[in-house]
Formats: sequence, structure tokens, C-alpha cells
Amino acid sequence: MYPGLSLLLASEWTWEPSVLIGLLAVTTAYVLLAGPGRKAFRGSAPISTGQKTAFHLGTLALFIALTSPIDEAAETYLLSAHMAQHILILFATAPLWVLGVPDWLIEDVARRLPAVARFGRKLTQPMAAFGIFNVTLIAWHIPALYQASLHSDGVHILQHLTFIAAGVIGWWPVLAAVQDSVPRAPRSVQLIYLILMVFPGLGLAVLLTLSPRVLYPFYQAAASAGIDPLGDQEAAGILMWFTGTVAYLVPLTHVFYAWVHDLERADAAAARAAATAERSA
Amino acid sequence: MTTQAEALSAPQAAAGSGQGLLSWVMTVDHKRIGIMYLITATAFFVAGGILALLMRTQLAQPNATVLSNAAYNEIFTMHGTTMIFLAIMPLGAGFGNYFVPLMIGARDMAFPKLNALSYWLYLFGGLFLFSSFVFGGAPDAGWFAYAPLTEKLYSINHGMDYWGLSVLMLGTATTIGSINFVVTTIQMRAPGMSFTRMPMFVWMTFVTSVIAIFALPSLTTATLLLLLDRLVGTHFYNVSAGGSALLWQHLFWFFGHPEVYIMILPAMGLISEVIPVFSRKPLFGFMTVVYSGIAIGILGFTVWAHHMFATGMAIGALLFFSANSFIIGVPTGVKIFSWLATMWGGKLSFKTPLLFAIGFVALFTIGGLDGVHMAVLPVDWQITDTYYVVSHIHYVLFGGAIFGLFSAMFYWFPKMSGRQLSETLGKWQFWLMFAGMNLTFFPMHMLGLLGMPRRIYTYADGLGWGIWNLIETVGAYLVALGILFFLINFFRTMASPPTNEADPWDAFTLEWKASSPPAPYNFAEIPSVRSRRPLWDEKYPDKADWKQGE
Amino acid sequence: MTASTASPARFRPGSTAKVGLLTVIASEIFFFATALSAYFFLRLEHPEWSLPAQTPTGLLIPSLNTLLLLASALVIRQAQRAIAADRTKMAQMALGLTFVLGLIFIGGQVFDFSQSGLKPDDAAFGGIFMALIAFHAFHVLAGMVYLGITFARALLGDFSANHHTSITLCAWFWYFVVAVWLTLFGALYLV
Repeated sequence: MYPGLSLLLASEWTWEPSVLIGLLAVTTAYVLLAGPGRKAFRGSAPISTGQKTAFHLGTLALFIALTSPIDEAAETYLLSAHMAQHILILFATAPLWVLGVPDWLIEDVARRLPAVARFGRKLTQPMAAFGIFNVTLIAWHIPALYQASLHSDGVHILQHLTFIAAGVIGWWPVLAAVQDSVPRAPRSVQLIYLILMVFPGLGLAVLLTLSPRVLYPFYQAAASAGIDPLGDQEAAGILMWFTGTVAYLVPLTHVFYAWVHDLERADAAAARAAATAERSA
Repeated sequence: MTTQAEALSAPQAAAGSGQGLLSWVMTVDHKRIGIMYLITATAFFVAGGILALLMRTQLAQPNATVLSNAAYNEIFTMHGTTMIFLAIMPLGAGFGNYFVPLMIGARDMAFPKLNALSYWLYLFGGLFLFSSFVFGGAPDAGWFAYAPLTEKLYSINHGMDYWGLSVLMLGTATTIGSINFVVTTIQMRAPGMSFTRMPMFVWMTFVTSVIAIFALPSLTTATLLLLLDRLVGTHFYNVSAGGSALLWQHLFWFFGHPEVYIMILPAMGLISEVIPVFSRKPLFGFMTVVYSGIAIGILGFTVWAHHMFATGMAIGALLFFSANSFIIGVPTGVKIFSWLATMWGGKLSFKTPLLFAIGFVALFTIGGLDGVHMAVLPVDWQITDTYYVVSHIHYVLFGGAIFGLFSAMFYWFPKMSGRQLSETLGKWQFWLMFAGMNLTFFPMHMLGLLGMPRRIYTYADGLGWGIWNLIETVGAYLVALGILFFLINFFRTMASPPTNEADPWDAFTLEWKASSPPAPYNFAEIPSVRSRRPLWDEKYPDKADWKQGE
Repeated sequence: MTASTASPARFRPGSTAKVGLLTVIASEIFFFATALSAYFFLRLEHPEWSLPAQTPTGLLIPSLNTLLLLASALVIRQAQRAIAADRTKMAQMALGLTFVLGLIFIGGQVFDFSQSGLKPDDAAFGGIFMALIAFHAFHVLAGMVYLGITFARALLGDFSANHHTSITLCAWFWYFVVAVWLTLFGALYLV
């Protein structure tokens, strides 16, 4: 069914030093932040287990994306593996990292670097975030740009870095911790945002899946390894399709019920206020 | 109250709420526009039904000669196009127009003049389409008009041009109407009516309108490209010149699948109003039912190619569409269980509105299960384009949407006219329609499995198809008799003096607070809302919903 | 019913007209999305469609036109800023200038097309290319009609710092038109 499976299983783990050091640095920084490093930040509080787990899972996802056999397969023969790699970055690492950042950190960094905070605020406005996430996603699928990332390590690193950045920005309106400096969107806006996010990925995935020809000539080489590049491209499209559309139902469900809960709480508060006013009237 | 009514009615008369034909033509009052939609749509429904009877008469026996093959093609095309675009959708819009403002405690829609424009565009589009019968031939390539059959080369007369132009007009009318509903719902709810307290019909109309705003553009694109091909000579769908026939299918069904949810969600909203009132219980799991509607709306955009399983797409894509077509059954099932749970333990009052609502639940379930069957790829490859599909469509759209719309008709008739439709005639209508529709559409399952293709104007003797077709034709005439009962009921009721009962069903929502029929301004004082059932709260303050939390 | 138990506003989008226009823009975005998808769908079958081989006039005029539209977006932004500060004269001039830039854009499109030698009944490429450009041009013209009316009203003194919804709406529609052009430019000429 999935043409690349045997090739994927035959690929090796890539222990790239820069990647390992980078991930280790990120993890260490976070652990310090959660521990003794907290004192350096005003208004800090213990980071919940949930948040810590989220962050570390995000780092783990990146680790898998960049060192597991997916990476080697992605850089040699399999578009589907490369797709899986990008999906891990955009739909696992980015949202998990956003979830893992505590509110006091954002507040205190904003206090010290107000210009940065203002800029961040602009970037994470729902419309801007939507644009940045989807333009980045679509741009890297343009054959010329994608091919460049396959032929040049530098461009490839740029690609991954921009995906991480765009992912964080894209998920910020929905998942960021509640604070005022670089706020997330109101719940009702989050609903509209998530619904609209389904469509650009859908368009891209449909074109990729239904394409009658191989769009990225680099992967023609897969034929020499016994893989049908068109079938693999189709598998990549399906993977993107699923994560880019139906998977949004998961955060959407959470946001919907959170929104309902907020509305009901507000209604109850208003009712209590009205009852008090009535009694004193 | 009376003085206020008088004081307000004088300037209102100039705005088209007085008597006389001109006041109706000039009106921007949502209630009048709603009535115009309902009457026009019912007329088109009857026309579409007559087209159906013609088809059934032709198919009752093998090798019949009631209709030629050319005439048959025009008739099934016009039947489908009429029922979908000129009957079901406008009936939903009609009830929406009339009742959304009332249910949210508003005085009118957000854009009353645009509202009127929607109606007149619809009427003109519908008449334009039907005029094709007179001016050179009606469209005859099926209601979903597949290219390249619809290209100038194969559809030489102007039928498809009529189809294309009226579809553009009707699509524009629907888009404008949808924008109106969305803005009205967001901006004009009464104080205290947060989204969690909004009636289900308003919610479903809102979701439907959002779906329409996203889906109709695809139809516009598809149709514009078709008209350009036919009238200007472009080659979008012409394979030999670089175009693609499949492109039409993708564009059309990207609209076409959400379209079926545009047709069914309002009807689901309607029975979600009726069932609680006639069970004397609030709807079970309200916000989850709302969310199911939203989920259906979103998923509806991811399943379109299940109409295209036999077009040779790659297997991965086919599996994706198949899987999503299963998934979409889940939120639908949630709604069905909610209606059943609402009735469970309730004090059921089996008046006509509830009968039609229960009929909806039963018949839509059958149709929905048909859909799940067809989501299985090998099953679909066997039965696509056979009568199995025709059975499915009609169980969900006739047994579903139309039954839901009749439920609303009987429920809301007293509000709109000040008179109640006859229960006796209503029950006769229901049972005739229920029996008739099952006789007509159930055997189509068998015919489909036996291999009878759809859209054929006749069939050979000796295939074993004749007996089922004959039964189906009998069923169709029973349905027609039921509709006739409705028309008799309508005219008799309108001829009788009004009783003007504001709240004959002891209902829960704000529209029953207004008089029957409501004054032009709906409410003298904009009501304030404390729960999902504001009228119940007012009538039964000891058992009020907002008190339940205390 | 005594005291209002209205829930506090969570997200109030603003005036009815603004919500209405946003909904219209949403609808039109989907129109262009489906039309552009049709283009890419056809292009999948035709690798020979990659640019700039197919546009006989090359990138010069489309690029200039793009810069023109981007400039016009900045100009209309000025109009918004100006009216918010009650500088009505500046707002009027900005609106007028945006209109003129739009006119030059249309002129540029028409000129480019007449030079291109493309005909709608050429193979599908000609058709879809022209269709997309034409659909966009219609929206520019619609925007210009709205601009023209708003400009006239501005001249008549209809707007002030507290009352200028029409200018805001006009600007939003214009930003939409510019954004669509940027997307079309990228899709038709650069990719």
C-alpha cells in the first residue's frame, strides 16, 4: 500500500551534531527556566507538568523529525518521508512548543523588550498569523523552491527554521498562554481561524495527491530504488491532506467547548449581577 | 399596545406593509419576503413533482412511449434542478427569513433591501430557467451537468445556457441571502441571547449560510467557465485543447457536496424546534448538536469526490474520500440520538408537526445508511449511477428535507397566517406521503442492485425491473395525492376566518411571543432573554430554565 | 423581564456594515481560490505552462502593475489615517490618487493583454489566464466604483474623524483586491 515503507525501514538514523547540540541546548534552557532560572524572571510561577510535558514532547518530535530514518529517507528518495518530517515540525513541534511556554515568560520578556513584543503582537494577530503560516507552507511547495531545499543544505536548514517560526506564529492565536503582551485570539475568533485553516492545506494537498506527474524531479531518483515516485507523491499528499484538514477537528472541538463554557460562565455571572441588582433595587 | 401599533403602521404602510399587490412587490419586510419565498418555492415544488410524475408514468412499464428520450432527458434535468435550487433551498430560506429575526428578537434582517433583492433574483432565475421549455428546449444534461456533454459540440441548443445563467442568478441570490443571515445572527440578537441561548433553527441557518458562502463560489467558477466554453469558445473542459472534463466534476462537487448539507441542516434545525415542543422537553445535548452541525459543515468540504469514485482517481485519494465519508456519519448520528433522547420520557403529542419530524428521523436514517454503504469503494463501483443512488438521494432529501419542511409548515402556519391547518387533512397527508415515499423509493434499492441505471428513459422487458417500477409509480401517485391534500388543506384554511392564536402549541421560543401574524415591527419591546427557552421562562416562571441552576 | 442579563461582549466585530463586507470578501476569496485551483489543476497536466515562456510580453508590465497596486494600498492606508485625524483634504486626495492608480493598473492590464496575442479560444491556457486576469479586473473596477462614490462623498464633506465607516470599508475591499493580485501575480507569473 505505502510504496516507501520498505525503504523507510531500511534507512538509518542520522546523528547530525548541530541538530543534537541545538536540541540539547533548547531542552537544557527549558529545564533551567523551569527550575533555578525562574528567579531571573519577574512574576514567575512553577510551570505545570502539562506544560513541561508539552514542551519536551515538541522537542522530541523535532528530534524524531531530524534524526530518525525519516530524515535520511526525506533527503534521498521519499517525498512522503519529507512530508512526514514537515508535518512533525508544523503540527507537533510548533503547537507543543507554544503550549509549553509559560505566560510569565512572555510577560517579562515583553516588559524588557517592548519593541520585540509589539512586533510579536503584530505577527500573531489572527489575520497576520494565518497569512504567515499558509504563505510559508505554500511557498515551500513551489517546485523551484522545494528543489532548492533538496539540493542545498543551507536552503534546507532555512526551510526548517522558517517552518518552525511559521508554525509557532500560526498556532499562537489558538494555543498561546493567556496574557496581555502577545495575546491569543478570543475563543470565537479561534473557531473561525481553525475552520479557515482547513482550506489552504486542503487545496495544496488535493493538487499534490491528484497530480498525474511528479512535481519535484529530484524524487525521480526514487525509481532507481524500486519506488514509484508518483505513488509516493500521492502518499505524501494524503498525509498532508489528513493533517491539514481533518486533524484540525481536534483543536476545534476543544476550542468550541471552551467557548461554550466561557459563554455560559459569562451568562451566569451576568445573571448573578442582575439578581443582586434586583434585590438591592 | 394598540396605539403603538397604529402609530407605527402609518409610516410602515409606505414601506410596503400595507395591503395590495404593489405593497408586496415593494416590501422589504422579512416576513413578507419569507412568505413570498415559501409560496414561490411550493409552486416550484409542485412543478418539480409533476415532472417526477411524468417520469414515473413513463417508467411504469417497459418500452413505454409516454415520453421520448429527448423529452425524458429534459424532464429529469429540470426535476433535479427545480427541486434542489427552486424548491428545497428556497423553502429553507423562506422559513429562515420569516423566523430567524423573530427567534432572535429582532425587528428585521440586517439588510432588508438586499433581502428583497435575493428573493426577486431567485424568482427571476427560476422563471428564466423554466422559460427554456418554451424557447428552444430545456437543459437536458442532468442537474449536475457533466462536461463534456454540456459543451457546445454535444449540447447544441441553448438549454445549457439557460441552466448556466439561471444557476448564476440563483447562486448570487443564495450568497446574498447567506450574507444577510450571517450578519443578522452575529449583530442583531436580543440582549441576553448569547450564542449558547440561540435556537437550534437559527444556529443551523447560520452554519448553513457559512457553508454556502464557502461553497457557492465553486459553482460560480464552474458555471462561468462552462458558459465561457459555450459562448466564447474557451476550452476549460475540452480535453483535446488542453482542458479537463474532470475539472468540472471537481469544481462542481466541491460545491455539490456541501450543497446537500445546505439543504439538510436547516431542516434538521426545524425538527429540532418541533420535537422539543411536542415532547415537552428541551432538546437533549444542545451544544453538542450545534457542534455536530459545525463538524458536518467542515467535513462536508472534504468528501466531495465520493461522487467521483468511478473516475479513475488514484487509490490513495479514493481511500481518503471514503474514510471521510464514514467519519461524517458520526456527527449525523449524534443528532439522531439527540432527537431520540429528547423524545424519550417526554409527553409526546402526536400532532402533524411531530409526525413529520419523526418521519424525518426514520427516513433520513435509512437514507444516511445508504450513504454509508456507498462510501465503501467496491460497493460504490457496483451501484454508482444506478437507482440505488436515486433511492439514497430521495430518502435524505424527500424523506429528510421535505418532511422536515412540512413539519415546520404545520408548526409555524398558525404564526404566519393566524390560522391552524386541519389536523385531519394533515394526518392524511402525512400517511399518504410516508407510505407513498417508501413505496416509491425503497424498491429502488433493489433495482439499483439489479443493475438498473439511472436516467434511462425506458428499459427492456424480461429484466425483472418492471414490477418494481410499477410499484414505484403507484407510490409516486400516492405521494402526489398527499401533496394534493396539503394544497386543499392550505386553501380551505386560508378561506376560513383567522383565530389569531399567538401560541397554539404552548411553545418555548420568542417567535410565539409575537402576535399571529406578527405586527410589522415584530415586537413592541425588544425582549430580554435569560435562557434558551425564553417564552417558557415567561409562561412558567416557577419552572423557568434560568432557575434550574439556582 | 426586568434587568438585562446580557452577557458581556466577548468579541464584537463592530458595525453591521463591517461584518457584511467581511462576509462578502470571504465569499470572493473562495471564488478566486476555486478559480486559481482550476488553473493549477489544468497546469498539472501541462508542465509546459511554466512561466515566463508562456507570457509573450514577459514580466515587465505585470511587475510594474504589481508595484502600482502595492503603492495604491499604501495610499489608501493614508486616506484612512488622514480621516481618523480629521484631515479631510488629505483623505480626499488620497482617495482620488488611489482611484487614479487603479485606473492606470487597468490600463496596464488591457495593454499587456492586447500585446500578448493570447486569445480566449486558444488552448486552455489562454482561456484560464485571461479568465483569472479578467475576474480580477472586474473586482478592481468594482473597487474603483466604490472608491469613486466614496471620493465624491468625501468631497461633499460626508466624513469626519468620528464618522468614516465607508472609507474603512472601501479600504478593506481595496486591500482584498491588492492581495488577490499579489497571489495571481505569484501564481501566474512567478511559479
